[in-house]
Amino acid sequence: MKILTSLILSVMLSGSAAAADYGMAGCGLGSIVAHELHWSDNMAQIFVATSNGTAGSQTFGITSGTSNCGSAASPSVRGKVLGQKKAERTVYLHYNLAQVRADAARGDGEYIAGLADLFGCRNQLTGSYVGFASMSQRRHESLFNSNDAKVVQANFERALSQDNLACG
Amino acid sequence: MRAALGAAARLLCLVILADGSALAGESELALSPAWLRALYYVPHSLGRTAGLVATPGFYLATTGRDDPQQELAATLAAFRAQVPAKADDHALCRFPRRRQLIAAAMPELAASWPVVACTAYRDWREAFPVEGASLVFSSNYLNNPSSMYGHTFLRLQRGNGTSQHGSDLLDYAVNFAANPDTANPLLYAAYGVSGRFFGGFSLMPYYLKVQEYANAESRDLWEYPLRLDGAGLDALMATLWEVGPHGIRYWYLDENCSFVLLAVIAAADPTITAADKFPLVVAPKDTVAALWRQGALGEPKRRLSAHSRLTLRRQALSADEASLLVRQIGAAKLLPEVAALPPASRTRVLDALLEWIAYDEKLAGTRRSEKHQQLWEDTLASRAATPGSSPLVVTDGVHLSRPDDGPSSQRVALGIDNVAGQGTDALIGFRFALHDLASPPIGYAKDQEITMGDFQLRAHRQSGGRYAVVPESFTLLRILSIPAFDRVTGAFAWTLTLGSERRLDTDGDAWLMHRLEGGAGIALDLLGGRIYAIPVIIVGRLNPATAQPGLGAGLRSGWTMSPTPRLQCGLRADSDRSSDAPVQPWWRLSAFASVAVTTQQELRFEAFKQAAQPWGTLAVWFRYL
Repeated sequence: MKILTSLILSVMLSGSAAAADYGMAGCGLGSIVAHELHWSDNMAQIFVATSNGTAGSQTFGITSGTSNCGSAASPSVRGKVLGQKKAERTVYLHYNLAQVRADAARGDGEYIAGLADLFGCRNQLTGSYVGFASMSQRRHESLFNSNDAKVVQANFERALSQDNLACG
Repeated sequence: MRAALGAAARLLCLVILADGSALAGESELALSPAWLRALYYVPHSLGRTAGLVATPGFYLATTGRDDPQQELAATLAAFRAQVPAKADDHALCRFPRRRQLIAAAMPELAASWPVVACTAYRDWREAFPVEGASLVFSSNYLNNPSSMYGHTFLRLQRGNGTSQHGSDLLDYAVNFAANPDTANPLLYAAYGVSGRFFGGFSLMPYYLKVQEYANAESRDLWEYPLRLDGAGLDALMATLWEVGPHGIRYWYLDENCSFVLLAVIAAADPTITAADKFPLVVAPKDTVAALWRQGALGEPKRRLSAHSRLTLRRQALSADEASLLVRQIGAAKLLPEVAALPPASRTRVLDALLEWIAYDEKLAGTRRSEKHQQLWEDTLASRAATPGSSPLVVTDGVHLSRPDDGPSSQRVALGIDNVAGQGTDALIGFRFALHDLASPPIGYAKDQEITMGDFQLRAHRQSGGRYAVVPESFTLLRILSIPAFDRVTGAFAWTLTLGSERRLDTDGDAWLMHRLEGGAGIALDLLGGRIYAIPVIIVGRLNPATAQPGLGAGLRSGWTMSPTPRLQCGLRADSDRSSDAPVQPWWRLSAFASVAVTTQQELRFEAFKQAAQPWGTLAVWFRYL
């Protein structure tokens, strides 16, 4: 019955059941942000970036990108990449730059909140990130003077230092 | 000597009893729902139970995919095995979910297992600290056939990686999807529905799924928290670790992404029986509803699509501001009138403008504005120079039907059709999916009709008084999308239909028309409802006198409204004409009213008149499965 019903409706399908045809990430964060890759072609590669060096790739590295990284079950180096906020910030900025820019211009929004978290700029007691958001709005032009996530990240680091915001 | 013999006999009895007890425990566990679900055994035809996982290494016994008891025995043997040089390869490390179950059911066995440092699993758990999980439903996406019914995936709430107020975007997503190995559309279709593709799991930052669905494809997300306690979450992570590296054959209709996610959830919580209830077709919406009915889900949170966010921003505008927005979107640069607005007003217009550009250009991920590059930059600069935030507050202004609400997607139909002077016929029908616009819109989009696999038969009374069963209609696919025309979003109405239907020729004789038709038109809000008119081009058998394909044109129009959520009524007027001159034009007028009697039952009345036929009435009772 399954096959029968399947065949009946088979002509309806022409799209992709998977989200996208993922490309190869190479290995590690550098290979991702060094190229101007469109997110939809490389969604799985973000995982390569964030899990590279952790044992997580054993479990979920099913997509093509992971197999490009040598041993899928490479020994764990806890926190080597995922725990490194700096790397995670770069990836986050790379894949959310348009929304982060819009939120920063508005002075609020969940994308700027996510970045505040990654910079450790949210008050853990109150949940407030207003200082970070205000700074992002005030310094919008200089913060987003590039579409390169690494440059934007460096701009943020410099601005946070200059404004002496309580982050870390 | 006798004492020694007695002691030996007692010892033997104890051993036998212990072994018997262990065997009984094994048998009990092997047939328990917990074991069956943790190993992804699902019911198949003829009462057979078989495992979903299709790649080697998941089932340890040779017959393990079909035999839960053999698989348990093989698992126990593997757990007792000597620890290899690479400890993480030991079964105790590879199968933590089975380890949990066996240790709980037969703790005496667990005491005899070797001590293994499962470093990889431990590190993975620490690398992905999780304090909650949600089932996420991504709403229908008409532009991709494989997404027309929506999609489900898991969100794992990040634990101590950030503060307790951490952003949801930094959570993780677990997705199951087919990994197609062909680009040929026909092969793709055939493989997709016949289980030829393997599906795989992937884990990624949640923001990537949000980018994909909410931003690039403008699909609203519903995030339902799973009611899992600490042990349940532990079990969820354990089963993901076990099954994550493996492939599962992907059947588009039933053993698809949503079904597999149900199985994952049931593997973590054996009390979840929702996966047992889908014999034919599994629509993502139905899986959400099944879990909801079972109490496995908490109240959902809405994450708005780009279109919904734009709608909310526009609702905040005054009439003058809305008018200015319309003028602005036609300009390449920011208009001076916008910059001259008072700050509060300027904020509203600029925020709406940012949402519009993001929606119009599908700005997501690394995609940059191209069509409106200067306007995007101008708007950002102007907005940043206007202090103050304007958080988007989710209100009821955006109507979104909860996926757990409303009837299921499949239905059977029974009807009585009476045409003046021609007697009464009976109708029987079955529809695989999903929703038509003559039904109350509970649980479905109010402006989208997606019908797939809709069969209808007519029991027609012949002159001798006997009934003959003839096909009434078979709709392979029908899409009718009637969003109200909008100059800001560019929304327009369109339709696509592939199927056959019974028609009457000028003599009143029935014939079967086969056709593919499609067209684009306009829909407007009018008289408390939605009115639409869509010219269509038709290709197919349009002449009853010949089986040759022909070309035609027609108009599909109507008006629908919902006076109450449980009632839908409206008018429909369809007409078409073949390019074959001798063929008479065809038309049909109807007025209908549909009442949701219960969640799963609907009653529909219709009065209709079509070419070569007097007025008739139809009463149909639907039972959603």
